[in-house]
Amino acid sequence: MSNTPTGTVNADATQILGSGRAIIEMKNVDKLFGNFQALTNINMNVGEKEVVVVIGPSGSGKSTMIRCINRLEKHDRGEIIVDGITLSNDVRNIQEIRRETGMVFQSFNLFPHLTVLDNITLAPRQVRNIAKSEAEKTAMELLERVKIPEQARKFPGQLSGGQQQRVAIARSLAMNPKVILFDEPTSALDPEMIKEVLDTMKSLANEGMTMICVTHEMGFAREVADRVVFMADGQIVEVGTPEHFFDNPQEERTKLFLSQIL
Amino acid sequence: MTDTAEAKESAKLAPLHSDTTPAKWVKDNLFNNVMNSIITVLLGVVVVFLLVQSFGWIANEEWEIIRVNLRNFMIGQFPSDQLWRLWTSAFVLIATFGIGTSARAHNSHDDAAEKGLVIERSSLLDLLSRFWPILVFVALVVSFAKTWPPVLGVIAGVSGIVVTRFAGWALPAPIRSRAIPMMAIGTIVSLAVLAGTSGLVALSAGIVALAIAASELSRFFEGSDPKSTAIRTGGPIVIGAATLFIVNAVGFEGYGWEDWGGLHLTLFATVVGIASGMPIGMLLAIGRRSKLPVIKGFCVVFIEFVRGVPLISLLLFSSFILPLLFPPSVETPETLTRAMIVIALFSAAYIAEIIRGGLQAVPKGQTEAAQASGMSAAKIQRLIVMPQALRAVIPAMVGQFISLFKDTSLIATIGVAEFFQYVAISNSQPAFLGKGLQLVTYAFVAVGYWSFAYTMSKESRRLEKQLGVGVR
Amino acid sequence: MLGTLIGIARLSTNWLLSKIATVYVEFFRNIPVLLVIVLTWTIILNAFPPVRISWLPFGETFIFNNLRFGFPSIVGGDKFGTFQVIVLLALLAAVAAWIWRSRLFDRSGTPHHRVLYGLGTFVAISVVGFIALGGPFDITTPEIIDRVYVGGITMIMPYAAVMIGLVLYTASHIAEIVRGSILSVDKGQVEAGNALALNSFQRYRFVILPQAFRVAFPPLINQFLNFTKNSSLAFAVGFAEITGVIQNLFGQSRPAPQLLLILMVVYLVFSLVLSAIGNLINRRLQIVGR
Repeated sequence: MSNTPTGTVNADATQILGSGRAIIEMKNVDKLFGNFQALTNINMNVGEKEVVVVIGPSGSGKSTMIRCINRLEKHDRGEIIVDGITLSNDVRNIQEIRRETGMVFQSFNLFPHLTVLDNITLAPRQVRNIAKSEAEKTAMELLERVKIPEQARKFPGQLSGGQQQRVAIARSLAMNPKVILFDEPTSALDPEMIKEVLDTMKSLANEGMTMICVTHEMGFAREVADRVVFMADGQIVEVGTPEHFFDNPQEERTKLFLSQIL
Repeated sequence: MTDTAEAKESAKLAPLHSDTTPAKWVKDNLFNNVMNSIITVLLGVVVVFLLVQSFGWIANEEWEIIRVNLRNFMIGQFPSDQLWRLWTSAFVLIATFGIGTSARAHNSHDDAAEKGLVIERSSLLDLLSRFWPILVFVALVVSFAKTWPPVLGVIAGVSGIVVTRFAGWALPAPIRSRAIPMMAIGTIVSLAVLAGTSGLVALSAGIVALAIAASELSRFFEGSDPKSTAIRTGGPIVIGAATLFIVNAVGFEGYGWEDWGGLHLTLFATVVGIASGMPIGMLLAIGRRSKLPVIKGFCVVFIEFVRGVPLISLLLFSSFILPLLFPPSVETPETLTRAMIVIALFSAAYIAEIIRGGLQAVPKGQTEAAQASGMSAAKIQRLIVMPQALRAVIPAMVGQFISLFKDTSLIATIGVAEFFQYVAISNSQPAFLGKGLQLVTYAFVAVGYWSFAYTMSKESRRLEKQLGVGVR
Repeated sequence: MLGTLIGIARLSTNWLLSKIATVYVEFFRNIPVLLVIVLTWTIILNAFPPVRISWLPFGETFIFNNLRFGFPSIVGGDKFGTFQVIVLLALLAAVAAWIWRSRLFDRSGTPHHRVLYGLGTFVAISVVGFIALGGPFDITTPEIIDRVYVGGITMIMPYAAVMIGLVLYTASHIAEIVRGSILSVDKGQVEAGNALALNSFQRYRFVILPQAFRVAFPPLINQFLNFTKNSSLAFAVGFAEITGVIQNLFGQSRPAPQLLLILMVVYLVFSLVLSAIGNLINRRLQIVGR
C-alpha cells in the first residue's frame, strides 16, 4: 500500500447511474489486516439492476472489498448497508444479508461430496425451507439457463472448470439473491472456458440482475458494465462509464494500469 | 496524498491490537456469546477444583520414595564404581552435539544468507522455549537429588551445552561442514566409554568410518579415471574394515548393557530401535516395491504380520519362545538383547510402511524428468526419489520415534528393569511396600515420559513448518 | 465419540475450552498407553473403598468398590414378552415418524425435527405400554451376600480401568485426527457455505463434516486397530497385575508357545479383516473426480 504514484483524493463511487435505488451502500469503509491497511475510506453505492465492474492491479483490495459486503471479511470502520440492512456483528443481520447476496468464487468452491443438483438445492432447502421437488425443479431450470442440464447428477469433480463455474453461478442464483458478487470468476479457467462463463454472466446482466464483478476481463467490462471502478492500493482511484474509463481516463494511475494491460 | 498519509498515520497510531485490554480479551475469548459464557463458567469451576485438588495432593504426598529411588529411576542398577562411564559418555555426547548442532545452524545460516534469505540466529532463549519440557523434568530430578554430585553434574552439563553452542558457532567453515560425521564419531566414543570397544560398538564404528571415508574420499578424488574410481570404492571399505579391527583390538572393557536400567535404558532402547530399524525398514520398503515375487512376498508378509499383532505378543514371543528356538550349543542371548531385536524388527516394519508412503508421494513427473535427462535407475532412486520421499516422511518418522519411545515401556512386562518397571520395583521395596505410593511414582514417571515425548512432537511440528510439508 | 468432541473443542472460539482440550490431548498423546492404563487402575484402586466397606450410593442401588462395580438391571415379569413386543413396535413407529417427517420436509420444506418426533413417538408408546401392562418388569439391585454378588449387573474394576484408560488414550489421538481433518477442509468451502447463508450448524453438518470424515476415515480405522491391539495390554496389566494369570501360565506350562501363537493369529486375522473392510469403505467414500 506504500507508494501511491499519483496524489489522488479517494474517488467517490456513490453516484448511481440510472434511476434505481441503492441496493448496496458503502460509507467510509476501512479494513485492516493487522497493521496493513487493505481498504481505505471506500465510498460506493450500487443501484438496482446495475452492473459494476471493479478492476485494478492485484493486491489493490478489490476482492477484499466485495468480501466485506457479505461479511466474509469484517470491515473495521465505516458502514455497509445491503438492501436496507446495516451490516453489524449481529449474526441474524449477517445471515439476512447473505441470503440476499449470492457469491461466485475464483476457485468455484463447489461442495465436492455433493452432486451438482444437491449443490444447488442445499441452501434453498436448508435456509429457505423450500420443498425438495420444488427446489430441484428450480435447480433444473437454472441449469438449463447456464446450459448444462445434462450434468445434474454428476459430481463437481467430473466437470470441467467452466462447467463447474456455471454450476456455481446457478447455485448462487438458486437463493434468488438481490445481488451477485463475482470474485474473479474467470481467473482460474482455461482460455476456451472463459467465454462460456462470461456469456452466462452477460445473459444474467441482460436479464437485469444486479452484479458487482471483480475481474481482469477488460472486454467484459467494456461490453457489459454500467460503471467501471478502478482500485489501487486499497482505494477507489477512478469511477466512470466504460467509454469514459477506457477511452479517456483522468488519473495517472489509471492510465498507467491501462497501458500495462492493453 | 494528505488523505493517504493521514490514514497511514492513523493506522500506525491505532493498530488494531492496541485497544485489546485484558477486559476486552476476556470478553472476546471467553464470553463472546451466551453458549461460550456458560461453558467458561462451568469449565472454570472444574479447572479451579482440579487445580486445588492436585496442589493439595502434591503438597501432602510423600515424595520420599522418589528421593530414595531417584538413581534407580534414572540409571537402574548401574554400579557406583562404574558411574564415571555414564558421566563421561554423557559429557562427550553433550559436547559433540552442542558443537555439531550449532555448527550446522551456522552453516544453514550462511547458506541462507547466500541465497538472500535472513534466518535469525537461534538464541539460547529459543532453545529454552523449544526444550522447556525436558528442562522442567531435569529440574524436577535435580530437586529430588539427595547428594551433590548429580546436581553438579547437571549444572556442568547445562553449562556445557551453552559453551559448546558458542564453540560450535565459532568453528572455521571446513570443520563446520563436517558436523554430522563429528556427531557420529562422538556418539561412537560415548558408546565405547559405556559398553567397551568390542562387538557391536566396533561394528558400528566400522560402519561410521566407512561412511565418513566414502564422503571424504569422494571430495578429493573426483575424477573418473580408474585410479580415482578405485580409491573411491575400495578406500572406504579398507578404512571401514581396518577401523573395525583396530577398535575391536583396543580391548577396552565396558559395562555390558544387559545390566543397564531406568530412564537411561529407555532412551537407549529407543535410539537403538530407530537406528537399527531405519536401514532394515528402508530395505523392506524397497523390497516391497521389488518386482521379484519372492522378495516382495517376504517383505509384505513380514510387514503385515508385525504390524498386525500387538508389540506385547512379540515381546512375549521373544521372552518365552525365542529361547526354545536356540540350539543348546549356542548361548541364548539375554532377555534384553532379545527384546531389543524384537523392538528393532517391530520399528523396521512401521518405518518400512512410512517410507513406502513417502515413495508413493513422489510425483511420477519427477522420475520421468530424471529419465528424460538420461539418469540411470539407481541414480534416479538415490538422487531424485529418495531425498524427496525421506523429506516428505520426516514428520511421520518423528511420530514413529515418539510412539517407539512410549512403546519401550512394554519391555517392563517381560521383566526388564527400565524406567517404567521401577514403579513396581520401588513400590515393592520393604520401606515402601503397601504404603500406596504407586500414584506418586506413576506421576513422576508420567512427567518423565511426557517431557521427552512432548518435546519431540513439538520439534517435529517445528520441522514440519520449516520443511513446508503439509502446508497448502 | 469423546475424541470427536474434544477435537472440535480444540477448534472452539472459547479460549478456556480449547486450551483445556489442548492440554488433555498433549498430555495423553505423550505418555505410554501402558502408563495410562495402570494410572487409571491405581486411581480407581485408591478412589474406591475395599469390598468390606463398599460405597453404596442412591439407597444401595449401586455398588462401588475397588474390585467391582455393580448397577441395577431389569428382570422380566410375566408380561415381559408382551412388553418387548411393544417396545419393538414403538421402535418401528419411531422409524415411521422419522420417515414421515423427512418426506414432509422433502415435499413442503417445513422444518423436519425428525429426531424430536422419532424419539417422542418411541418414548410415548413405550411409556403407555409400560403403564398398560402394569409394570412388566422388576428392577434388581446388586447385593453382596457372603462375598458373592447377587442381582444386578456387575463389572470387574480392572476391566473398567483398562477400558477407561484405553478410551482416554485413544480419544486424545482421535481428537488430533478430527482436528486435522476439519482443518484440512478447504477454507473456500467454509466461505461458500457462509455466502449461501448456512448457519454454523448447517455448515458443519452439510459441508465441513462430510468432507472431513472422508479425510479422517483411514487414520480412524488405524486408531481402531491400535485400540484392539492395545487392549492386549489388559492381559499384561489389568489382570496379570492382580492374578498374574498370563505370566504364570507362560512360566509354568509348556503349551505357552501354542497359546501365544493362537493369540497372535487371532490379532492378525482381526486386524487384516478390519483393514480390508476399512479399505472397502474408504474406496466407496472417495469423492468422485476425474
